Amino acid sequence: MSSPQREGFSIPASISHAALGQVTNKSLGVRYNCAQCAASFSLSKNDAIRCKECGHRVIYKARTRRVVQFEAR
Amino acid sequence: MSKRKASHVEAESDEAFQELLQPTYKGKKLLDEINTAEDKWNLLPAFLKVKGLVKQHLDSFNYFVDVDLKKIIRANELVLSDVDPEFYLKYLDIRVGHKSSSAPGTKEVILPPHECRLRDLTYSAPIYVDVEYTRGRKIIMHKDLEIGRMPVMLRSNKCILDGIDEKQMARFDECPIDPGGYFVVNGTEKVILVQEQLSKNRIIVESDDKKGIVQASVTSSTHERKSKTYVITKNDKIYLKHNSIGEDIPIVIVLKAAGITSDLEILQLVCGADSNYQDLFVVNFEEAAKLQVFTQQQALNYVGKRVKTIRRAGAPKLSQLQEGIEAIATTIIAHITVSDLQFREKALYIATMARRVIMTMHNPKMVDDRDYVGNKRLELAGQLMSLLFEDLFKKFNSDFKANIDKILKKPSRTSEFDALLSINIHSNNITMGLNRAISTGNWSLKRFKMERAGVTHVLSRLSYISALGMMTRISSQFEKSRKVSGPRALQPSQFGMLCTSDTPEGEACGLVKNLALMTHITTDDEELPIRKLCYVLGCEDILGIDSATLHAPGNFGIFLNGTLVGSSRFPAKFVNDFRQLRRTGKVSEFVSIYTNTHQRAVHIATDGGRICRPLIIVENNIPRVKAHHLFKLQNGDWDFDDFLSHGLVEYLDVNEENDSLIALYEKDLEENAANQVTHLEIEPFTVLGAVAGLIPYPHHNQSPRNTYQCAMGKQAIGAIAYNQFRRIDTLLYFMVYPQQPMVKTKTIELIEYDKLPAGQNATVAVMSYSGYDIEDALVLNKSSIDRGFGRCQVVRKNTIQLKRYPNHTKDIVSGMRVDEEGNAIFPHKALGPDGLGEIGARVENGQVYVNKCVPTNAGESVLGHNEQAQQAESHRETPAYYKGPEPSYVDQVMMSVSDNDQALIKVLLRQTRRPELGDKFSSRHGQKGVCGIIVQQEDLPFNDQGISPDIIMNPHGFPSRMTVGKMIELISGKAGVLNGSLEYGTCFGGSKLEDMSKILVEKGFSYSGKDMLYSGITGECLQAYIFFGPIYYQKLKHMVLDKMHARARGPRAVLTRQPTEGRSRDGGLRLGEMERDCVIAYGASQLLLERLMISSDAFEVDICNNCGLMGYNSWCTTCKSSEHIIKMTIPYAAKLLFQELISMNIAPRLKLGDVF
Amino acid sequence: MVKQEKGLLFVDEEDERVYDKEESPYYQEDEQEEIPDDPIIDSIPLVMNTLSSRSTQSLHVLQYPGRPKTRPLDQEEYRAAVKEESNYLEVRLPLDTNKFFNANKVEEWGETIGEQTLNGVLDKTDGGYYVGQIVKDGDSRKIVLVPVDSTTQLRPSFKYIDDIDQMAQTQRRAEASEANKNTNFQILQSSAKSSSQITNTEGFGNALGESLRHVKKFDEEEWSHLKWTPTQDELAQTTKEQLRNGGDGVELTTATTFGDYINELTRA
Repeated sequence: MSSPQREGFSIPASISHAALGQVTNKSLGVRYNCAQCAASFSLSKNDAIRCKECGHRVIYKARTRRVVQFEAR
Repeated sequence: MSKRKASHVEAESDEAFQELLQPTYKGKKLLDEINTAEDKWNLLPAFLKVKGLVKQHLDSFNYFVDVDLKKIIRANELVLSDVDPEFYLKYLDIRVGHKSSSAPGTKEVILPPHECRLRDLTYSAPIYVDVEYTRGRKIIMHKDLEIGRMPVMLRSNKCILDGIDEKQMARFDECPIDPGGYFVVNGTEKVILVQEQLSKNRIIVESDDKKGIVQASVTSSTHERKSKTYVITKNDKIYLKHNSIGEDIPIVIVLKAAGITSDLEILQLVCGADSNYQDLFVVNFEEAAKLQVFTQQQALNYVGKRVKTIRRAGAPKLSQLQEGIEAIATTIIAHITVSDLQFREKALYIATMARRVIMTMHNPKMVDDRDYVGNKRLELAGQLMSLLFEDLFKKFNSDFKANIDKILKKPSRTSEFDALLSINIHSNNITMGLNRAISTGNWSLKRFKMERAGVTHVLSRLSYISALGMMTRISSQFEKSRKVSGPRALQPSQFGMLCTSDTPEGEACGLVKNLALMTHITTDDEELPIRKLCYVLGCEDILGIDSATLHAPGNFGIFLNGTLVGSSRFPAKFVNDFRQLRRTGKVSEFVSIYTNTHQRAVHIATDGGRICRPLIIVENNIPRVKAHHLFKLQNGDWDFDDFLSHGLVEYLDVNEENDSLIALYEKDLEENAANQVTHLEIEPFTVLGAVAGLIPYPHHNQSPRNTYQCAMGKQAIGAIAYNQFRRIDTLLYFMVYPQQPMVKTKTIELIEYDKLPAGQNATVAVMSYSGYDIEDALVLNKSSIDRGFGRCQVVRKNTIQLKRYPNHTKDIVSGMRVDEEGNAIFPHKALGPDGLGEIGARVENGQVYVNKCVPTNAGESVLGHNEQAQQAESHRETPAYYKGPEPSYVDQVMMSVSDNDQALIKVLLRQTRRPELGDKFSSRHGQKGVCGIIVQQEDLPFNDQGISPDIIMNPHGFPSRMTVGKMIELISGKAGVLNGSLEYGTCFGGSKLEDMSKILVEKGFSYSGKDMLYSGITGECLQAYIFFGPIYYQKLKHMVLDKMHARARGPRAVLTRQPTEGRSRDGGLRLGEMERDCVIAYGASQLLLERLMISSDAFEVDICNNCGLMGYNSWCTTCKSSEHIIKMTIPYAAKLLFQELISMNIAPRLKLGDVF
Repeated sequence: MVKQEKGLLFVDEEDERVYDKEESPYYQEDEQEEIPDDPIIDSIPLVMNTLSSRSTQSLHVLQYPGRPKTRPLDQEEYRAAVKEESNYLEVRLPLDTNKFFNANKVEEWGETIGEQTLNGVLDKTDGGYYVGQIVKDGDSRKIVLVPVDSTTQLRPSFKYIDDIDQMAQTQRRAEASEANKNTNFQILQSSAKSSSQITNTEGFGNALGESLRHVKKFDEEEWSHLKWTPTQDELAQTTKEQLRNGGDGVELTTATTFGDYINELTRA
């Protein structure tokens, strides 16, 4: 149901709540695809959002390489 | 070539209409005999090929951009300075989308439309003007000066999609079937709906029988002003009424003021020689004589004295006479201009209005019908844009003028003043003004003091049909609350122009309409050439004929756009000659002419906004379209315009339709040999619109059922467009396995619904099963659902903007958090190392899909940032949480930059849903139902071939609904399945029931469509034959998953401490007043007290029994004592009410006493 | 008093009617190309003519629709004046006080009404209108066409009533202004203020409306008086004769087809 407060998880009110775990900031390995030329590349934290090949300004995130289990019903 | 693109290009080209125009179409070969009666319908695809489904929008926009803009420029061409009389700037030309130097056909738009959608930009093209202005003493020409950007309508002639083929469409990520006709503003698709209005500059006569009032009114509309003039009866005398005149002016005085001083001439103009009319009119002379008004000057003074003067600041004070002249010349009936003090045209117009009133007084049947479609005009995107642009352009010019005046006023200027430098400052105003108006829908025009809201709507992309239905929609300006049936009723004159079925139910019923399939809406045509032509064709100039002959017997007045321009003694010949010229193409095909014998008038209309439709011309009861013409059409030698230019087909508007006799079928021509049939219908099914065209056999249904289907067809989940998986819209529904219907219609093929269908052919058994099928509930086959029946996907967009702040800080996306073992914490399970959801990852309730962080010091000032800049920015996490009962999957994550250079992240979340209990389905006959039970296939009945139904429908759905079309659809569908063919259920045609039954019998089935079934539970054969076969079923967007809601405890509103309202806020379920009444009536009032107060809303207050007001902490602040304080419990709501009353200066005082 | 810049030919109602009727077959002739079942009965050659000296002469059609043609006017003592810039014509003719004349009213108005004033706006024809007449010359006939500069419909104006009103009003105003001069002063002030604000208008229209500017122009323009020549007069007769039979007598032949003509017309 649409009440996240009640079941499972409640939205952390402040950062102190979310302090479980450390932030990982290695964005390496995440690939992005250009919407125009389909080039695959990775971006670092402060890079502009722009295709590294053709300079197009729309990019998509590439599909994850994690194993995803899809519940087929 | 990219990988993504490559797949598009390889896509087989199937040009939309090419197939329809192929030599072998529907099994008909080139050399096959052509039967005009049957094959004339080919004109319809030919029409749609030339005109398209939303051509009215495109034509209107094209006219605005190519013609109207230039007119606006010409009307406002000079910018002068008050300071320097030498200075001037003159606009020479205006262009949208290309420079004067660029090659013809160049289309300069910012980006392809789809990129604008993705990046939240406006799809627009630059507006260039050529100007000539003075710099010092020199006159300088400047070409291609950009003054702003114009939003471009998709598929208009300024759009890059205009005239490109399917392959190129794919390259632009566009759907070739998408009709266009909308704008993309800030990334959302906006439609300017067609607006219906009463025609401008035409006389409408109405009467109120109760009050005994007859009135003729005319709404004058020019570029500068809009005003309404009435000629009205009061105590059987006739007066002229106008907003700017304080009291009603006797008509004789008005006519005298307009230069008709002789009573004889007034009588001639208003009554002619008819003694009935004269008797009715005579009283009016007495009144003028009583008021001692004899001359023009006296009359003008009389009028001038009563003018309400609303003087603008700066206008000179006018004398009474001048006021009178001004009123007669410009304010009254403003659309007729007076030049050289020649008031005759205006006098004649007023006299015509008075004459119409007299005629109606004599014969009450002479009133006009407001609801008659011929008295209506449709306002389209182009006209609305043109109003808006002119307003903005005037504002632009006055801003520009103010600016140059300011500069020129300065006594010493170092360099010579160049006006162009200051024109660019304002260029944003036009762009912003246009964008804002389209994106908010608020049309505010200073000139007319007009404020109109809700002009634009977001294009509904629920399904292809809903988008298409929106493009043909017409909204009316009538108030929805008024309780008059007239405007809502179906008008006979709507035939063929407006769809007879497609209108919403409820409050907007009959006020919102839809265009029929084969219609065109006219744009303005030049009036002057038509006027000249009238004089050549034997119309006598109004300035040359005397008043006595005007209404002489046999003389017909000739009205051009409602204004009398002349008269003719041979109206029939005049009209005939005019039509001949139109058929030869000398006059625009959209100019209409008709005779009104009651008013003894010939009306010619060239104005825009009239609905018209093409018809085949019939001469001597033989249609002009012959077999060899159709042969040329099928060969591709001719297109629709050739039929027009050869005078075989012509457009008729509603008024001219009224002047002709139209045969429905060719056979009617022979039967009506005695009557002079003038036209032949191209196809009768064009009375319906695009949406109603989906219904098979609609002519067998009860009419409201077709209307219901029109509403539901727009809610059906299906394919949206070829680019549906590229779209990132707020909410989209896709059907996983859509099928084209087994029983189609010609309309379905024409609008290409078969390429973007929304539904599936379900095998239906019409029988009772399980009792879970009452009240239209459906029984679904579980195995069918497993196979993919009714399966759909819901994708939802979530936009995150990474803002930049003035103090050089900005939002960032921080990475995911991991626990000790290096695994992501639960809320971050779906995130990747970059802090964005991983594509394909499952997002559950409470999980994050974008881990956005806002700088903690974002609000701090720009000043003193020096020390802080070096130090590492600290951020606070403001992640986007997923909220929902069912998990979703990340479908796409798009990153881009919007126009203000802020990063834009759009995350698309997808859910796949299979039908479940409570999901809504409907057939194409207004028969909706929810899924009542899902049954194992094993338990369902089956026939001797082992076929079991996908859906079981309760037979009670038929008797009262009378949807016979649905039964015929089943039989035709069944025959089609057995025969391997797609059958037609076209309105007034389609596959014949008899033929279908024949096929069934041939294939070994019962002619009636009933089969013998075996029970899935007992295995015995059922006691009755079951009506069994395929029916096209649509899954509607209403699904339980989006509606289910329950609450035990939950959030409360801060102010009232009551539970919140609505599902989206996890609100409570209200125990309302009526429910409360029930509990009281039952005698359980203590339960109410306990439930509603003690256990939920109790609040302890300190009441001061001295002053009766509330205190706190055992202290009454009013009495400054704690003496009389009594603690008691009241509902918090009551306490709040008391406090609110106190805030309104009402003191509710409580007087407490002992109960026992 | 007489200032003849341009000759003015009075075509009275009766003559004008004749031309009007002749005009319709002329149009029908054109359409016969299109409608075959409308046979040509007769053909008459067309001759075009103009006034001998176009620079000083012009031709106008005057209509007096208020008067039936059974009672023609005798044209002895007419006076005409024109305001050329404003396209306005005034004709004064003696008033027949024998019939339909209320002598009692005259006493109210004074003795000034000896003549009747007709006036009308000259509507420029832009060269589109011709007067024509069938001229019989023995057996041969011809239609002579002469281009008309403008047409006008004359209507009576009752200036004497307005004049009396005017007098009464000025008298009243004079009395009122003597009564309190303060109000006058205020008006002056406001008008002075407004003139400075004219500059401020937002480019929407001028200070005076189009029509009022016409009125102003009309009021400022001087009447130029014309000499009236009755129909029987020799000068008028010669002019008439010259229009009828003078000119080069070149027969008109059609160089353009009806279709071309229509195309020319309908070209926006």
